[in-house]
Amino acid sequence: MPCIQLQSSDGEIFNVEFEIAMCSFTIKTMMVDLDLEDNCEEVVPLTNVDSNILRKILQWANYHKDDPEANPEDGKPVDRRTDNICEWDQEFMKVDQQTLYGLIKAANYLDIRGLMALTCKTVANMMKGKTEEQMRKMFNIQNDLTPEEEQQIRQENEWCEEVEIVAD
Amino acid sequence: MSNELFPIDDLPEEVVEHIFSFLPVPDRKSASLVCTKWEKLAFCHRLLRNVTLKVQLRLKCHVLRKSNRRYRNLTIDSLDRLVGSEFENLLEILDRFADVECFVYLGNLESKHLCMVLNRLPKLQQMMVGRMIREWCPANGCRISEQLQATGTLNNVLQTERLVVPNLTQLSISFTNSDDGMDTFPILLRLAPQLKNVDLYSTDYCIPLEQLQFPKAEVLKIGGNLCNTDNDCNLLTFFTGFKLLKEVTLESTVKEIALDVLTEACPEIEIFKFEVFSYDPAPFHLLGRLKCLKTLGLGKFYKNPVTSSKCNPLVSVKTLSLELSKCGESSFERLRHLLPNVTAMDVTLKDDWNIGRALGHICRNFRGLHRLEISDRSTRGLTFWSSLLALQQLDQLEELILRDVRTLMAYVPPNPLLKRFVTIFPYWLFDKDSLELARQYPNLRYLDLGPIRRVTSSGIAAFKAQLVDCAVHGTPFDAEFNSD
Repeated sequence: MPCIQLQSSDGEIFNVEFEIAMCSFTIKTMMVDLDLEDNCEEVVPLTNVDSNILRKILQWANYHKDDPEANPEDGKPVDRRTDNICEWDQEFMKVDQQTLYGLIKAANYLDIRGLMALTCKTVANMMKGKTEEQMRKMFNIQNDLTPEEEQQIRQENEWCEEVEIVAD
Repeated sequence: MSNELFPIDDLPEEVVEHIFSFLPVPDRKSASLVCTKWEKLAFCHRLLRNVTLKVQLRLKCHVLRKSNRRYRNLTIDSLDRLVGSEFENLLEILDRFADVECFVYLGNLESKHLCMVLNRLPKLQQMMVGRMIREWCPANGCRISEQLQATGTLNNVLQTERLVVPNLTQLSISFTNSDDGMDTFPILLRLAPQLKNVDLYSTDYCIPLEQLQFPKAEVLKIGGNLCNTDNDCNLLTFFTGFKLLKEVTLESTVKEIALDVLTEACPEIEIFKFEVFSYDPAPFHLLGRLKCLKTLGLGKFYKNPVTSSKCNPLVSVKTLSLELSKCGESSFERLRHLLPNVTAMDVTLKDDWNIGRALGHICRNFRGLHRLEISDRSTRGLTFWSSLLALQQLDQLEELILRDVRTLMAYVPPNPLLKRFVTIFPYWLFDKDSLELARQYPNLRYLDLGPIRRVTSSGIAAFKAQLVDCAVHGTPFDAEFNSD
């Protein structure tokens, strides 16, 4: 099995199966751009991801390596559900808030769509059913809206209804 | 920073937006009240895709004057014909939200107003005009359009000629009477050449069909009495105008000669749905021309269809959708010979067809089904295991969908192959039944229990403990509603 070497921001080197590393579009593009596809000696530096997070990500990528690739062209509406997280992923997401934050940042930087969806769904699930006050408390956000603005938003929201998206 | 808090504010805006994209609109409304930045993100242009601004014209809408949102979907609800102040309101709303891509108008809209709407919404892609007549009883069917005066009509012609809405490709329009039809007709005529998706409904035969041509249409839906004419020539001219149709739904009678030209003109049709009862013999021989036909829909199956002898099997059809009503049992054998390669069926049961009888015939005649969906509108009371036993004959079934089938999970025969199971409105489904399900369908990957059930979160957890890889959908029904 051909491997490549990924180096985390704190200097640790991971030997990763080619196929698993390819779940990241960023790494994929880097390989093509740097013409590394046949060269396993080169080390790919990931300056924005530390070893703890990279280890977690590789664990996730390994479990999901056989997942069918989502094809945005196939006309299906984008998956917006958050209640369809499989058992393994739910276990995987039992991490502290800092790790969750690290995973989102890294998934965004490495452009791993499946992991991005999973981590964002997890945060969305934390927010579901909460009032604005509870959300502010949960994320320690200061309310910078004037009472007039708040009133405006509240009234305008009343005119808004959800509709089904037919095609994206 | 405390470890307990998720530092959402440190994330780039596009990531927060991505998180919000997984929130239903009610939760996004709460998020919009958190702070200025979140208000902007929760209803940003991309996320406004699944939001419609619904305006009741008779109410004052000054609150919208301060809106910064660029709505993409706009629904206008008007009780009756536009009067002065409502008209002003409409103008103001259209000017403020010029980015609208989908416009729905619930009510009657005269052509001059329709022109005005179209001229003000350059990004429009989809438009629906008319009451939802299909579920609505036309109380003022013979209303006279008092506004239709000579000068008005002249203005309309000028306005119509200037209409430029290049992105508009979907139009759904319902006519309630001849005046509406004639009034709006010039606009329809003007837009027809660019439309890809056309849905026309009329309570009367009231528009000159022969003048309309839809050369780019790929999807066509016809309802009401739109095609109820004795003038075959007009009908033929209309249907010959279609060239690229892929999907056709006829929710009312359309003469066989019209189907003749339609199937000749559009050999690429993949989905064809019509009401069987209005043809004698059923026009299956015409469908034989459609070599790409994948889905056949037969509505209102009141009697056995008479098939002409020269009718060859439709070998390309994989999906059959049926509305069983009063047809006899021999229908199934004919359908089996006509459609030898069907692997998916959705069946609605009405009148004479209870579920036991229907399943018996379906399973005997279509053994190769991979997918079966049953909507039961006829059986009263509980469906016992003996009625469902026939399902065992389907040894390739991977997906089963039961709608309004009142049964116990213990009555559904086991199937080790089944991958997807959906039950909407199960009669009696408790926590213990979810375990029963896990036993009956050990390889299930997808379970949807619909909105009404008595399985709690702990029942779902127990199910998931049995089938780790199965995704479970449906709103949990929790203790507060459980009286016992």
